[in-house]
Amino acid sequence: MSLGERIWQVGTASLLLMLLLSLRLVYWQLIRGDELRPPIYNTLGSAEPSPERLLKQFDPDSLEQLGEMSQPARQRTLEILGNISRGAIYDRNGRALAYDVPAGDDVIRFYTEPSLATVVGYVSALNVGVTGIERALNGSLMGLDRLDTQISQLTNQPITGSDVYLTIDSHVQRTAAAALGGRAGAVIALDANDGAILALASAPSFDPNQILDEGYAAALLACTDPSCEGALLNRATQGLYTPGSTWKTVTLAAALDSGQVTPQTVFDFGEPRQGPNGIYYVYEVGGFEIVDPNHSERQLDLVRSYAVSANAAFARMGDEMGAETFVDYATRFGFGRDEPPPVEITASRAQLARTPGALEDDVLRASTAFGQGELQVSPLNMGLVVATIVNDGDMPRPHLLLHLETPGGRIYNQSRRDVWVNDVIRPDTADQAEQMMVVAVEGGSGWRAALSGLAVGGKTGTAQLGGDQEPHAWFIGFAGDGTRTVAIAVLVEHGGSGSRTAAPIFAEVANTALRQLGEPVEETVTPPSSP
Amino acid sequence: MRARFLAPRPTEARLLRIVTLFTLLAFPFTATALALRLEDPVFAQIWPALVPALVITATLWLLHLILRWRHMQLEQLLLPAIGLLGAIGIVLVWRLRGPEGAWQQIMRGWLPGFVLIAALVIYPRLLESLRRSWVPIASAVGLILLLATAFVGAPDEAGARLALRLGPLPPIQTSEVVKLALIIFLAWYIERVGEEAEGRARPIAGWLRLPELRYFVPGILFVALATIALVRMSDFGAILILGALFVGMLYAGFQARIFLTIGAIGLLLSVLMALVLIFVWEPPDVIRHRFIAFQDPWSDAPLIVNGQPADITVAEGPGYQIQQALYAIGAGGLGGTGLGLGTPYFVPLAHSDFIFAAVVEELGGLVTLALLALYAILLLRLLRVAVLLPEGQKFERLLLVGIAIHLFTQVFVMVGGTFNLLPLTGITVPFLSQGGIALVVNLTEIGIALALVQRLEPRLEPRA
Repeated sequence: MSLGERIWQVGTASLLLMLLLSLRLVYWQLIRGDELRPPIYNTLGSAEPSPERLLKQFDPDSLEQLGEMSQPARQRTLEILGNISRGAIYDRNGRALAYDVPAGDDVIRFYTEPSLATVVGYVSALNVGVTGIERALNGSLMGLDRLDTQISQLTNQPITGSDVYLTIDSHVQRTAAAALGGRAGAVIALDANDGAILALASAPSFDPNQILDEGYAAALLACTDPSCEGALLNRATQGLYTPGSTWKTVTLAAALDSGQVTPQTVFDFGEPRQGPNGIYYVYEVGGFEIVDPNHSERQLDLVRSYAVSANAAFARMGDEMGAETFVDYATRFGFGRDEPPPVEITASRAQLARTPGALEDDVLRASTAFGQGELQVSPLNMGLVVATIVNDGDMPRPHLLLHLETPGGRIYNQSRRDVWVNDVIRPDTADQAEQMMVVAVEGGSGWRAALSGLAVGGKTGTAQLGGDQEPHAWFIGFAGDGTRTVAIAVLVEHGGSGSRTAAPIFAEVANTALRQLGEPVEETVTPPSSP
Repeated sequence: MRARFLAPRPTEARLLRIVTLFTLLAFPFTATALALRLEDPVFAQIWPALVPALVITATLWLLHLILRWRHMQLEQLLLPAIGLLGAIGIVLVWRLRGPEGAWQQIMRGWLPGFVLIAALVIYPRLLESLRRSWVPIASAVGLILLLATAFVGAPDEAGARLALRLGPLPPIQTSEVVKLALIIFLAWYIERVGEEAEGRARPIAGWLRLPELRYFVPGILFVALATIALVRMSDFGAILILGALFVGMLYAGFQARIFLTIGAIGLLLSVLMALVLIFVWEPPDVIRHRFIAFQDPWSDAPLIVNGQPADITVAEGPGYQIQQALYAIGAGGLGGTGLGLGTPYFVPLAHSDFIFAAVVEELGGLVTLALLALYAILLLRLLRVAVLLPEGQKFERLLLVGIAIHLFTQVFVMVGGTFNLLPLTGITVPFLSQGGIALVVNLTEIGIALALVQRLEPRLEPRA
């Protein structure tokens, strides 16, 4: 072999090693590339990050990982985040609910309305949304959903996020939070026609300005006192409760819509029984007796039965309706679905029964029909039931986002009237149910909800919890002034009678929502002064 | 008789135009990007950035003219290739170290290097006299530099002794000079003893031939140098490069049967030396840590320093640099962020050893592959000259083989370290990294190649 040939062999060997280098580069970039990109990169790269992807990228777990991620990755993530000014969050009247306050080289996210802590949510130490609107609309608040920021990002220019305007009205919100008066519970008020949420109060709440303080957060999580237990939970959308008699509205709508009954149908409750607290009636099903102590009349028509909340009438309707019709209507009203109500923030799925098919059982169905059974629903669910009845049988999509606004003032993603479930019930059935709700307030258990000069309808609920626990107090209803109608659900945990505890809260919130919408509120929290 | 004053080099001219365009755009673009980021006035930054670009392109065109004046028509790829690499290197150094760094690179590396190239091209007899009388002196200088660096050199922050500090002068990176000296020595040695060794070899085990003992000098020299490099200098990269030089040049220089025998004996010696080292020598923490970091840069095992667990982990210590390089690779993606728009300054030593991390981040994976291909082209062109040179010029041919191997191993070892394909080591990437002496040595090697190309020129007329 000559020298020339051997030289070429040296060259070939070198080329092979060079190929190895190239393959190694391909390996890092194409096979391990995603691991090497800071989590935020993946979002920055796409013009329209899907909500699923955002949730995945910014779920609290991955943020914790960010805290633990190796310093180089963290450094790069911070570099990108440092280029982004987060947009502010406003209520429907332009009152700031959350905004960045400069603090030295850094910024502090400042929240003005503690009663909205579980709605607006809060950001992590890196100023990335962790919960609530801060998380749900994180991409918009960071400006990642706009085309112009893509160019800024390419040239490493600072990015300013969009501002978020919510449907919340601060004054109504304050009224709702104050009306709960320190008791654990929730109030949700929505525009019955378009699903815009005007107030969403959940108590107890927490101070979002302190949540990043480790001690504060730990104390909050460990708390078992009623004044702070479960404060991080938004009871209006995530809390699940037995609905009690408010559920009779669903049974009523189902029975009317399926043609099982008419408003004129008369129920005969049989012989009254004598109990320690007066007479009561029973409805017997499958060897069980469902007790009905809410009235003394032996015979009532449907309108009165609903107004006085006659358990026996509704147990009977549920029993006779059959499982298929019952489940069908409940599902259309949003219960027992695989999806929670499609509001921007985290919401829970309502439970119809613990196991599917359990409502084939007549006893369970009859007790479910008057609001006990295994029902677990959120105040949001019940608010939507009212909205459906007011809205001629279509269930509006509940929403918190009014619109987004770019730093240049362009408004986009404007919320429009949208329906979650179409034709839950027929418009005429909805009308009849609406009338009966009015009667229930004018001459029934809900009289404390009445407001002079406004059309008010509603239903009380006192959800028995078994044992010697105080029942949950409920009131669901609507109030209209001829141009707007609000649907409101009130829940007070262990509040006792719905009529006594919850109905007055409804009246106060409804009055404010219809007569004082947009009134300015006094700022109660002082922003941290910038040095 | 000369037809024209200047010989045509059309391919080189065309390629140089592209390099010129790139250079004249890259510097102002990078300066603009940096100014935008720092919110500095843009126009004030553009003009100063054009000056180094003009200097770089002027040197390239001047050398182009010199080559044409020398009536050279062959090897028109070498100059544009090193021109492009050098321009990218200086623009990255500008970006990472500011104008001072770039000017230092030009004044201490680029310009002296091109002066040496021009000298070698204009006076090709320099090489002839080197072969005849200067090899022992060059080798001695190399050896003295090596020993001086190993024993009185200034250790860098990682504990490796690669630089020699002479009085108030800035430290001189001697290691590259030493490697060039070694290449010259080996080429000379193999030429001198190669034929003899084959003639006097005794047959052993049939086909294999065992030459006389004195022909083992290179093997012994290697083991000695490698040991010094390891023990005194903590320089893992040097071992790889020394190994590649010895194996490659001996392989090319000797018949296979002799190479295999010497190789086997050299291997045996190395193994013996390694065994001795295992028992008597505690590897410096630097080398051990780099090896651990190579295995898993993210490892959160504590570092062992002097036999005790330290309170930093591998990931925080030696793994940090590799992680940074890999994140730079991830951040760059295939397209790169663009010059001046990435964050390669997060990578420690991105301007020198880790220049490829900056290349991948700002220029992208595809350009990086293209640059690797450019190195491959450079390597093959150098080897091609070695192949085309006449049989009789064995010294020159082996010199070129050594130069090609040297350039290649520098790329392979350093880029391999950056891509976590090899344990990390501190050397420079030829033509790209910041570093005065290293760039001068690499450019000199190209000068040697260009000087040797003249011997292939069919129409070359001697100039008095």
